[in-house]
Amino acid sequence: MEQLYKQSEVVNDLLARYGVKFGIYKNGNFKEQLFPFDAIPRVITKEEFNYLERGLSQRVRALNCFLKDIYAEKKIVKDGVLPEEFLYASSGYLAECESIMPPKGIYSHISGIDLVQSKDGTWYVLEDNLRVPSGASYPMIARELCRRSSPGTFMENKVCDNRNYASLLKQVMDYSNTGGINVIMTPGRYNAAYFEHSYLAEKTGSVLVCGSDLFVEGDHLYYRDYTGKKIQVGAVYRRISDEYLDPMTFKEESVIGVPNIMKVYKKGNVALINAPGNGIADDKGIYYFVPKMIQYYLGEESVLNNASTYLPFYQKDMEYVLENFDKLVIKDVAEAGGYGVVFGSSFTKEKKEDFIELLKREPRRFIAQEVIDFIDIDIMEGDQQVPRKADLRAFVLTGEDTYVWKSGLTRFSRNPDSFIVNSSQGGGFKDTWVLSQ
Amino acid sequence: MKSKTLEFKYQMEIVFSEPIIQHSYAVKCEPKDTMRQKISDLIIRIGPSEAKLGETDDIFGNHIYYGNMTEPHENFYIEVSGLARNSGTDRREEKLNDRALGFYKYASKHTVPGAGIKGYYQKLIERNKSYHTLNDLSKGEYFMGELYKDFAYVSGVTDIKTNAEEAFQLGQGVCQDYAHIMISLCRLAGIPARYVVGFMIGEGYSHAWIEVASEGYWYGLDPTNNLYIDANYIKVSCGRDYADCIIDKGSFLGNARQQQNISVKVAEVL
Amino acid sequence: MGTITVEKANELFWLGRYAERVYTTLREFFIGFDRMIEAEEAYIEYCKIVDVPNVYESKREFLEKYPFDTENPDSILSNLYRAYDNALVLRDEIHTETLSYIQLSIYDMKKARVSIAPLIEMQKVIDNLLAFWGSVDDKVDEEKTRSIIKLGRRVERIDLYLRFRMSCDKLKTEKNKLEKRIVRTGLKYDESKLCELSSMIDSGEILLNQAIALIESLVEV
Repeated sequence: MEQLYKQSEVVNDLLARYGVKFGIYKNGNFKEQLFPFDAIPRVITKEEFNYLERGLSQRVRALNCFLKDIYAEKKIVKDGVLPEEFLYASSGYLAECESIMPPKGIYSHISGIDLVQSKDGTWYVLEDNLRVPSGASYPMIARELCRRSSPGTFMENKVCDNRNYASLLKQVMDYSNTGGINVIMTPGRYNAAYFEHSYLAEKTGSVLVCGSDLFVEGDHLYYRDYTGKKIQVGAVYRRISDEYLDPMTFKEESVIGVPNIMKVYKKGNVALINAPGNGIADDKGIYYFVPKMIQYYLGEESVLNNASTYLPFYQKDMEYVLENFDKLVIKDVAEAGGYGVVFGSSFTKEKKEDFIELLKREPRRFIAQEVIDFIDIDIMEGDQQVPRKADLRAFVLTGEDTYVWKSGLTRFSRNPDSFIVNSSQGGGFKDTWVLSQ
Repeated sequence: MKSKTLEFKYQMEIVFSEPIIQHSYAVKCEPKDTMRQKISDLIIRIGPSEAKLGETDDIFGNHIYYGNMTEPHENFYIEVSGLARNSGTDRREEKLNDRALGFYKYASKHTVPGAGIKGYYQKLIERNKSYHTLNDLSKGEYFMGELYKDFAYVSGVTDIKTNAEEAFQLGQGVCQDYAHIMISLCRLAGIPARYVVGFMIGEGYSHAWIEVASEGYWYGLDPTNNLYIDANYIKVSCGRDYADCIIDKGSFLGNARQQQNISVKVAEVL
Repeated sequence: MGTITVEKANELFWLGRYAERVYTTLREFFIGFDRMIEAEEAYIEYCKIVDVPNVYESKREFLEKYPFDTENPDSILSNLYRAYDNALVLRDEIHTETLSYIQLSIYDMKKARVSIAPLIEMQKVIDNLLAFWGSVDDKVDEEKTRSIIKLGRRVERIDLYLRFRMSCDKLKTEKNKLEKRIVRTGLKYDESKLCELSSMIDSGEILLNQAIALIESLVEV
């Protein structure tokens, strides 16, 4: 494996050659940046992966059941497992998706589950991303280039191939397709993940489109080619968020969506991948209920652990949060990404009192979690190996079956003191190996 | 009040300064029968005539006409006309549907209460000693009366994007703002409430009011005029707030300026 | 895929044009650069030959800015970036491999900018562009898609050869290639304009401005 570490620069040069970049806005200007790659892989043993696979597959199956239930009968609410306000007050819940059955009944085709491993080896799920999780293309192309740069490493180590991601994705699209071509819909080249959109289109043989390339006529969705011919579209892997998808249903000012696409979807004449409305399932407040969902829908115990989470909404949890305030991390469920996350210990006495007032006034708005001390993974800095915080985004694909991709995106923070591993904040990525023996 | 038969005609026309293409639209303009109103002789025209029509219903029970016009055109119009036979005695609008009630219990985008509305709500329930003995409709009526006194009808200070809290802070606004604040108050009080768009006798524009859920039924209240919804009103659509009841949503290609003309005529047939 | 929109057809066409513009301009720059080693004023003549405005005050400024200044729309690098902008949105049509040669050209032009012997790095740009065309032939399976990029190349080459006042023989060869290519694209074009241009080149009596106007307006994309 040493041989591979020495090739870090070669791999990064190749990544540059193939334009493996992400876009960022700095002072209002768009810039493309290379996504720094570290050649030391995260290695997951076969046994460990078997465990993760069971847990991830179970979790995604339950989340799909939840979405199917919540936009129809809402049994989980009626049976008192999920309090009603956690549903209706969530910004991820879209009333516009009520009573719509997606083709083949699948809501989350591509799920990105973020995990960390604590120092005692236990895996914890931090977040479920069921809207438009991105990042699979990076380890996929990095593997190709690592094999080219250090073939010996892959002769010595038995690593499951991860370059099948595109064919898995294609199977998912084909399975849900209602008749017509597959397209990948991008907001455009100034989107942070444009590389991924165009690369996945190339590798799945889908047509890369912008909203303005598609139009609704009658009850179907079409694409118009340069000779003026209409071509029916059967599956849209859309990489734009729900609120921009259809200006006639959601934000009227959206110029990147397709007017009335939701009407076609409602009639069952196109698959939207992932289904609109999935945001309800990756709400921070709903996260607490995922182990209960697994119990409720599948009748199984959750294989994977959630980070220990408390809902101040419940009196018992509120008491615990108030008693242990200084050792918890508090998250505002209304905020996305790394925003609205505060450590209890970081408050001054006065601020703490104000915050507790707010917490008591709006208990549903917050969750509290135990802080997980997660493991470091080494990265190369010059020719030194230094430890850095890293998380793992696992990808679970749902078509005819639920399949856990034998790889994942490992992101690390370059700053030794930072827990934030987001790529737009200067982090890098690693390949994730799943060993086959 | 006696029952009335109202003849109504809604006309909306957008004139574009130059031809536009790829024009998509979704229109919610169809009044439906309720317990209080019975619609007949309904004619809906959407044009110019090459508009391709599709139809669907939204989850709030509104009918939607949608379509797109690919060819260049310079105007777009909607005309809705018909008769409404309105009861003068039955104020019930619709029976409650438990399944759909959840939408109307919690703050929606335009009705999130801020410190202003929350404080006002506290003040209102403390001021009225018998508040807790009232049923939900009477609570709504109480909020309506107070809001009517404390909020001033002034046009031009708010726009369609103004939310309940912003309007409340201004202390002024139009029917949309009255309705949003009122909905925000009701939902704070745990009373399901919804936004309604419709027409009112003698008014030249479309109007907005609210409905509250009480004892098994939806009842209409018009906070702008401090009135119960009665035989003088025609309900067209309803939803969680303004955003669910936009009569015409549209998008098109072209740099045209738009001029919109709306006329609403509602008169009693004697 | 064979299903491309009007926008993509336009991008393919212009990708071909800009890639060709950079390639043929570099070829010409090699000749001009060689003269400029001794002759201080040779750049003035060069600007005339390649039909770009002479906005430079000295040879030194010319050598800094004409190849590399991204603020200058006529610079070689600006044209390369235009090729890149079109290529980037065509990854799914032309494939990552093909796109990479445009990307590599940009890296090599950047190296040339800081090199004491820029032609050595620029030779790599020429190599990359030839590989780009090889990759277009090899990777772009759909004939119409491939033909649209190549039509861009043909149109641009005639345009440049006219501006550079190349010999009629060379123009004839290029014109024949263009005539064969244009029918394979499925694009609309003005046949009468093609006839007019063709007879002008065949007769050897070329009215420069008129000929450039004809080639520029030949295809509707």
